[in-house]
Amino acid sequence: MKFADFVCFEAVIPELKAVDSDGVVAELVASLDKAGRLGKDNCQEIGKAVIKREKEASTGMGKGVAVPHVKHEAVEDVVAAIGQSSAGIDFCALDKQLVYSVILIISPVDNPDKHLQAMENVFRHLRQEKFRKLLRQSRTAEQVESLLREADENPSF
Amino acid sequence: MKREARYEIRFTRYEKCAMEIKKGIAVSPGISIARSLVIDAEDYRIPRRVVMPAQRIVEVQRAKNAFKDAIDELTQLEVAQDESEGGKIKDIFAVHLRFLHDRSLRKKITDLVQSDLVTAEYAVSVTLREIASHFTKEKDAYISERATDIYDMERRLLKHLLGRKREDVEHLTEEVAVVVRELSPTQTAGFNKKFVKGIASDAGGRTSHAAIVARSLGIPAVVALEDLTESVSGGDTVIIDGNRGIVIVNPDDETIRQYEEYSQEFVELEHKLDAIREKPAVSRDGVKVTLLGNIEFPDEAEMVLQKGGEGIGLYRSEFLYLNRPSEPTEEDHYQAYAETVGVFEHRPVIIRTADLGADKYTQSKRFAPEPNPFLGLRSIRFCLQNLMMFKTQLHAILRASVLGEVRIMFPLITNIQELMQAKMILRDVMEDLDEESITYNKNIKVGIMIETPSAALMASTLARDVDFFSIGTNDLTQYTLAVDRGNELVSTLYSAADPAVLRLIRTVIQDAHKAQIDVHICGEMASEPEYIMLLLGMGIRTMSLTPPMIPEIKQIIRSVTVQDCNNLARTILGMNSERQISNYLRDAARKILPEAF
Repeated sequence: MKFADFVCFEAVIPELKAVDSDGVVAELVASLDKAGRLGKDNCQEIGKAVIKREKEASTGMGKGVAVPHVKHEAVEDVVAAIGQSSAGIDFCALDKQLVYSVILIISPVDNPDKHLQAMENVFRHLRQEKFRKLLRQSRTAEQVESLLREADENPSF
Repeated sequence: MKREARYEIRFTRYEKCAMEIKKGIAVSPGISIARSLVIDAEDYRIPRRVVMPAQRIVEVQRAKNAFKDAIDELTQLEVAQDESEGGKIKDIFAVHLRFLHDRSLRKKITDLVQSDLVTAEYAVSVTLREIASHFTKEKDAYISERATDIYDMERRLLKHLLGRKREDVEHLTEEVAVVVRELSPTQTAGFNKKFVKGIASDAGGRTSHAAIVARSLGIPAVVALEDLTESVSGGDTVIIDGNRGIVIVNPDDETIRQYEEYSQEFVELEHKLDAIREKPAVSRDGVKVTLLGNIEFPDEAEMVLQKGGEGIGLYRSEFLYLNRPSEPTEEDHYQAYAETVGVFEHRPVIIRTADLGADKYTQSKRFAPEPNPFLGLRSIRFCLQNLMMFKTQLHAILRASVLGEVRIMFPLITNIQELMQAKMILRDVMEDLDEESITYNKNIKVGIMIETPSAALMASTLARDVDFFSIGTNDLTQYTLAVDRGNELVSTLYSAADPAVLRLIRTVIQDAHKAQIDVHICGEMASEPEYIMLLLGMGIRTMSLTPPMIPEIKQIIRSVTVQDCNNLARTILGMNSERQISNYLRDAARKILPEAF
């Protein structure tokens, strides 16, 4: 699965307003909602579910990246929003470092494999230092989009 | 010197196949006396065997018969093919037939038999391979690909010449000693273990796959015999002495008699050790040690129990992926785990997630070969990039977790991100199970293998997020010392007694103790008697080892005091040379269990 298959480019936030993890999740969920990807009146519930899950175990996977995610009936296919913070956010990541890029993923309940396919793609690219760096340096939604599209075209990137 | 010896052996073959003694590295104890089965490899070479002059006519006739049989077979195959797909397959057979009808080819082969007094199979193999090599050198791809056709014809002729002698390991009907250039995991997975009584290989070291498999099956093995496969033909009697590292080809009656006696004595010693099975692994000053077994196949679980093991410390799951055309289903995983867990009930069974790649890189057909697989996409890295496959396994392990005390262990972790990702996927799979209303142990213990220097150095950080460490000393040694353990040219540099390796191990143990998590040893080190005192002295209380070694290791534990072990460890860790450490350890161990050395 490629980024373009699940990332909602309209929901990319180049500079997050929120300063804590709960706020970031809420902001990204709202962004997906605004882009019309979460159906009707699901925004609050999804936000709460992601935050609850995050409290149980952080998805801050180190190197300045967190991947909060949850499954929800509101979506039929995997959908993701991306938010950037130049100041950094405390996501209780394992390496105790601040998080600068957050990829929020909402996956369908009835097709768990789709979620894994999206995660596989995220893992593959976040492994690359160059990719993490460029993502962090992206200042506009357009820059994020073109970076992800380039990554889709070039598997070694 | 060596050349002369071989010449002499060749010469005496005129009378009778002479006894030949080969020295290698003993990797699994025991004695086996059996007929040999030489396993076919890709680059299988027919040994050059000299025949008596009077035998020439017979060999020439055998070659002619093989051609006749091959032609008959091909004619039938050609007739059976219809004209579909443009008759391409039919054409290929026609080409092969034309080639085999060529008189000059046949003459070349029979001339070789006449002039060099070699067997028909040797003449066929050498002649056809020489022709194939000419094709291979051609730049034109069409012509160079014809080499494949020549090899195909070689195989066909050899099949008729050697008949059923070239059977594979899956369809054994009598006890054999397997003689092989290098044992691949795929071949091992296909073994009918009931009939394989010993293994001898040209390549390999103490921790090569052949060695690990032999030890886990409890059969004698000798490796690094260099050119053994060239000296043995299928059906020759061989003695494999896994205690002294010797293989004897075509032994005379007196040698067989001596070995039968020796074998008997060895069995008696083993029985003596078996007698301590029911006794606990407790040191003389009352410190309890847990001994677990390393296994590869579910049917080995029973052996761990028989030998007095208290659970499984390393359940290698790669066998599920080997020797089968498609990926294992979740049910395949589940059945294998359930069978093993059933044997141990509430004692621990630690399942290591797929450690595919590098030496276990069996799926090379599916993935582009890597230039440096040991440093490549293997083990947990491979799983994290193949999440569907990973999920299938985790799903099955979690399902089996309600049957007993199942634990999960991730291999080859090199940094915290990998651990984080693996745990994140585990959690996702748990949620899937929740949604499917399948029960599993929500508090399943999760551990990692410490087998890279990076993981050892970062142990204090990694310890915060796992329930246990298991130190994989084989890979840890290989990666720390930059030595390929299977490469005979450098394998002498490979030693767990190297001070660099020991210091890393000490760091891991100390960090685990500080974090109050369990730490086990599951590498070969735990099954080598000379290391046991050192490991105890360094603070190890759980060891997982190859099942046949459990009684002997228990015997050692029961003969020492932890106080003495602590003193020994302190002395050893002050030493700076591998040789000094090895000698010191051997001397110390010899005092405790003289018969093992």
